[in-house]
Amino acid sequence: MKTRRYGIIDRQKRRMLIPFLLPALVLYGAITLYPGISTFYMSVMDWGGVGDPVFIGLDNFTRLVRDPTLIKAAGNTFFYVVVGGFILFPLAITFALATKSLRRGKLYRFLILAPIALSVTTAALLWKFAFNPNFGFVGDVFAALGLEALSSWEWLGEPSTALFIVVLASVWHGIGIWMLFFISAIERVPPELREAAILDGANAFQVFRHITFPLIWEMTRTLIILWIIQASQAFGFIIAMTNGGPLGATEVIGTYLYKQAFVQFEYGYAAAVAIVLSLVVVTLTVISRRIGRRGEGVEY
Amino acid sequence: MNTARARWAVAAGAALALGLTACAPPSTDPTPAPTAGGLSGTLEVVSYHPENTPLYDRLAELAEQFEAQHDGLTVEITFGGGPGMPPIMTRYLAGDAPDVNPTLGGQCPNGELIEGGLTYDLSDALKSDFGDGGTWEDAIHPAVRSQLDSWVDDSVCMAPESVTVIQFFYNKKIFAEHGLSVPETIDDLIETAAALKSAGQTPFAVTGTFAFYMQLYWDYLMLRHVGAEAYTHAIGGAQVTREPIPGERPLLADLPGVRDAARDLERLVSDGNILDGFRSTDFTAAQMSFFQGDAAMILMGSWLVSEMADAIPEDFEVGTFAFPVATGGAGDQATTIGGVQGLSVAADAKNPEAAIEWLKFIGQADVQATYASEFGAISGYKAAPAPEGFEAVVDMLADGEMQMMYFGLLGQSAEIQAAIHEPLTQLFFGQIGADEMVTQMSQRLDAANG
Amino acid sequence: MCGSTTTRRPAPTRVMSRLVLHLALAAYCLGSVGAFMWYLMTSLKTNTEFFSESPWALPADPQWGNYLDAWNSGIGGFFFNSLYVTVLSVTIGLFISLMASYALARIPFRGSQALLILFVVGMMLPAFGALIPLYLLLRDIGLLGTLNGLVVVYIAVQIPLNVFLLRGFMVSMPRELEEAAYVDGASPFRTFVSVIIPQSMPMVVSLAVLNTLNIWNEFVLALVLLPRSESYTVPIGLLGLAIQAEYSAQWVQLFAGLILTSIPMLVLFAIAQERIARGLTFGGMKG
Repeated sequence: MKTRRYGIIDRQKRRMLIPFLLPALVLYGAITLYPGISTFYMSVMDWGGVGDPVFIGLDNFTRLVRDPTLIKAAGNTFFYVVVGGFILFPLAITFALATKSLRRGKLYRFLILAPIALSVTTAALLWKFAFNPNFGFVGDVFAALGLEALSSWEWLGEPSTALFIVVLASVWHGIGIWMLFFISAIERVPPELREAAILDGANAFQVFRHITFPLIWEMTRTLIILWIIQASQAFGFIIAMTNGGPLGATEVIGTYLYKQAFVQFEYGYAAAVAIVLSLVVVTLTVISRRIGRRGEGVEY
Repeated sequence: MNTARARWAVAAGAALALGLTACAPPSTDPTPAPTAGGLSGTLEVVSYHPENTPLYDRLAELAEQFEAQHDGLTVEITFGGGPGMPPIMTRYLAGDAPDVNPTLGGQCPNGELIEGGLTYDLSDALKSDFGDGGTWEDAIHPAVRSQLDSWVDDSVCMAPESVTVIQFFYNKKIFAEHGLSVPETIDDLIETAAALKSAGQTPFAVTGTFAFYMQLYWDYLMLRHVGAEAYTHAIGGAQVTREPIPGERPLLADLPGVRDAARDLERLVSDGNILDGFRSTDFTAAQMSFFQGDAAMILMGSWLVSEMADAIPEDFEVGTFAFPVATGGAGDQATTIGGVQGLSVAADAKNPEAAIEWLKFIGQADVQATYASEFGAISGYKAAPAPEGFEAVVDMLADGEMQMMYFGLLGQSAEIQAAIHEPLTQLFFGQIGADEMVTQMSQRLDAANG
Repeated sequence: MCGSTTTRRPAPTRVMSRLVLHLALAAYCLGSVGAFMWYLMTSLKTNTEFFSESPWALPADPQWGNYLDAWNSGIGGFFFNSLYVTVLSVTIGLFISLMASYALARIPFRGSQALLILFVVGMMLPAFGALIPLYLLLRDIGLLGTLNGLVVVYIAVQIPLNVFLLRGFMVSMPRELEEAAYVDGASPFRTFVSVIIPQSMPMVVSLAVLNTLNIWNEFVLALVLLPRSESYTVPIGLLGLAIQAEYSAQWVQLFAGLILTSIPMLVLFAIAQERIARGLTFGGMKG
C-alpha cells in the first residue's frame, strides 16, 4: 500500500523532471560546461589564439612537468592553500567563539567583517602600498613599536616573506564571512550540552574540544572543501598585489595560467595547465574529505 | 603619453582569456582595399584610458572634430579595459575587433595578431596623399617609420600617434647642490653616483617589481658595449631586425663586450646606489621617490613628466640626459631606445576607410601640435613641434636611429623573458654577481631557444 | 576602543581570559580600523601630500573634491548597475538551482547520479575558458553589452556550487514533510514551493551570501561583456580609478572611490550581520 502510494507520487514528480532540470541544464551547459569541455580539447592543441589549432597530442602535458616555473607555482599554490587554511580556520573559529562570549562582540564582528566591503583587487593594490618601504604605513607601525629590524624589512620584496604576506592580506580581506559561518554553526550547538559539561567541571577548552567542535565538524568539512576550491584557483588578489614576484616567490598556478593565456597567448598550454589545476583541486578535495571522515562527525 | 606602455604585459588585475577552438577562427581573407569617397556609418575607436580622464576627453574632442569634417559619420569611443586590454583582445580573437586600437608596449601588436592576419596592412595607405603635398609616409620621421613594420611579414601594422624615448631624468637642484654636471660616459655616471652617495644622497630610483624596467639598464649597456644586432641575435629574436641575421646564433656569454656591460651594471646598481626598498617598489612609487628628491636620477620613458604632473612638487626642476656612452665600447653609442605609441586598424574592421582617415587625421600637424603642448607628447611626424625639453630627442628622430624598447622581448616566450629577467633581477637584488648573471642568462637563453 | 569588560562577576581566571581575548580582538580590530582610517585620511589629501607627508599626517586642507571626482567617474550609476545585476542573478540563480536540486535529490530517476556529477564537475573547471565563447554567444543572442546578458552569465556560473550544496541539504530532509503535503492533495510544484523551499532556507541564505560576494566583486566577465560605461558595474568603475592611480598618479581619487563604494556594503553588514549569521548553515538538515 505504502509503496504504491510512493509510486504514484514518484510518477507525478517525474513529470516535473524536465521543467525542473531544464533551466539549470541549459544555462549551465551553454555557459559553464561547454567552454570547460573545450578546455580539454584545447589542451592537446598548439594554438596561439588565431588561425587553426594544430593537434600535438600530449606535448603540452609533457612540457608542463618540465616547466620549472609551473612546478614552483604548484608549490606556492600548495603553500597558499595549506598555510592560508591553517591561519584562516583556527582564527575564524576563535573569532566566532570569542565574539559570541564577549560583550561588544557585535562591534568586533562588524570590524572583522568590514574588509570584505573593499573590492578584491583594489584592496590588494592598497596593501601593496601599505607595505611600500617609502610611502606605506607598515614600516612606521613597526618603528613605532620599536621593532627596527622589522620596520626596515622589505616584506613584499623578499622572496622569503612575500608569499606569507600575500596569504595574510587575503585572509584579512575575507575572514569575516568564514567567521559568520562558524558563528551560525556554534549558535546551533544546544546550550544544555555545554552547560552540562561546565557543571561536570570542564574548562572552556575542554568544552570546545569535546562538545562544540564535534558538532561543528560537519560544516567545517564543507567549508574546508570550499576553501580548497577557492584558494587553489586564487589569482586576482595576487596579480594585483605582487604579480607573482619577487622572483616568482608568489607565482601560483592561477597567476601563471593567467599569464600563459593572456600575456603569452599560449592557449593550448594554458588549457593543459588549467586541467592540471582542476585535477589538483579534485585531489585535494578528495583527500580532505577522506581525512574529514576519520574525524568524529556527529549529527545533531 | 602614458598610453600603452609595456606594463600591459604584467598588468594588475586584468582578465584572462583562454581561447577556444569552438569559436570560428577569424577570417584570414585578404581585406578589401578602402574605396574613395565620403565616409559614413560608425567608426569604433578604442581609448586606453577610462572615461572622465584627460586623454579620454581628448579623444572625444577629436571625435567631434572628425565627425564635423565627415558628415554622416559617427565616431564611438570604447574604453579598452586598461592594462592588456582584455575586452579588446577577446574581441580580436572572437573576430569582432573594434576598428581602431592603440598598440601596446611601444611596438607592433602581439605577433600572433599580425601572424593571424588580424591587423590591417597599412602599406598601401602609407603611400597615399597626406594632404601636405607629399605622401603619408613622407610626413613621418624616418626613425619612426622603420618601427611601423610588422615583425613577421611585409605588412605595416600601425601608424604613429606619438613616440616615447628612454632616457635619464635628473633632479637639477640636487646636481647643482653637489656641483655635479651631466655625465657623458658610463664611467662619469658611476662617478656621479659615487659622489652623490658619499654626500648622503641616493643616486637612482628603480622599480624592482617590474623586470622590464630593470631591463632598460641592461639593454642600454648591451647596446653601448655589444651592439644591437649581436645582442638581438643572442636573444634569438629576429623580430627587431625584421630579417634573418646571418650566421649561427651566438651564445650571449661569448659576445665581445658582454662582461663589460655586466660589470658596469653591477657597479651601477650595487653598494646602495639604488633607493632602499626598491625591491617592492612599483613604478609609480619609484617615480614618486624621484620627484620627492629621495633619489637624484631615474631611467624612464619620456612620458614621465606628463604622467606624474598631478604629483610633482611645484618647485621641482627636472633635467634629462641621454644614456651615457661606453668609452671604447663595441656597440652603438648614439642610438636611443624608444618606442612608437601607435594606432592599428583591425583586419576585419567594419569601417576601414574611416579608420585609415582617422589615423591620418591624428597625424595632422595641428592635432599633433596640441598633443605636444597639452600632454607633452613627442610626435612621430616631421611637421609637429617638439614639446618643451625634448628638442634634442626630436632632432635625433629626424636623422638618428631608434632601437625598439626591450629589444623585442615583449613578444618573446615566457622562457626567453625569464632567461633575461631572472638573472638580471638577482643581480639587482644583490644575490649574484656580474659573471654569474652572464653565465645564467647565456645558458637559459640557449635552453629556451632549443 | 572596540571593547569593554563584562559587568557580570565571574571567577578571576575568567576575568583574565576575557581580558586577554578583548586585548587580542581589539588589536586585530585596530588593524581594520587603522586601514580604514588610512583610506579615509588619504582620500582627503592631495596627491602630492599623499607621497610627501607621513601616512598619519592629517590632510592640510581636506580635499572633498576628491569625492566629487570619484563620483563623477560615474560611481553612482555603477552602483545601481551592480545592485541590479547582483539581486537578479542571485535570486533567479538560487531559484533555478533549487528546482534542479529538488529534481536531483527527491525524484528518483535513471541517470540522476551522473547528472549530479556533471554539475559538480563545473565547480572544478577553471573559469578561464569561458570568455571567447561567451562573448560570441551573447553577441549572437543580442545580449552583449547589456546588464541582462551579464545576469544570465552570472546565474550560470553560480549553478554548480548551489546545486552541489542544495542537493546535499535536500537529501537529508525527512520524507514525511513532503509526504504530508501530498496527502493534503498538493501538486508536486506546490509542494516544492510550500515545503521544500522553506525547509531549505538556511542553506539558501548561506548561498545567497556567498553568491552575492562573488558577483559583487566579479570583474573579469563584466569587463569583457560590458563594453559601454552606461552598464559598468562597481568593480569596473574602480578599475578605471585604479588605472588613473597607477598611470596618472591620482591615488587619492581611488581612495575616495573605494570609500564611497564600500559604504553600502558596510551599512548592510551593520544592519544584517546578525540575521545572516543566524541563517547560515553548511551542515545537515537537522541543524
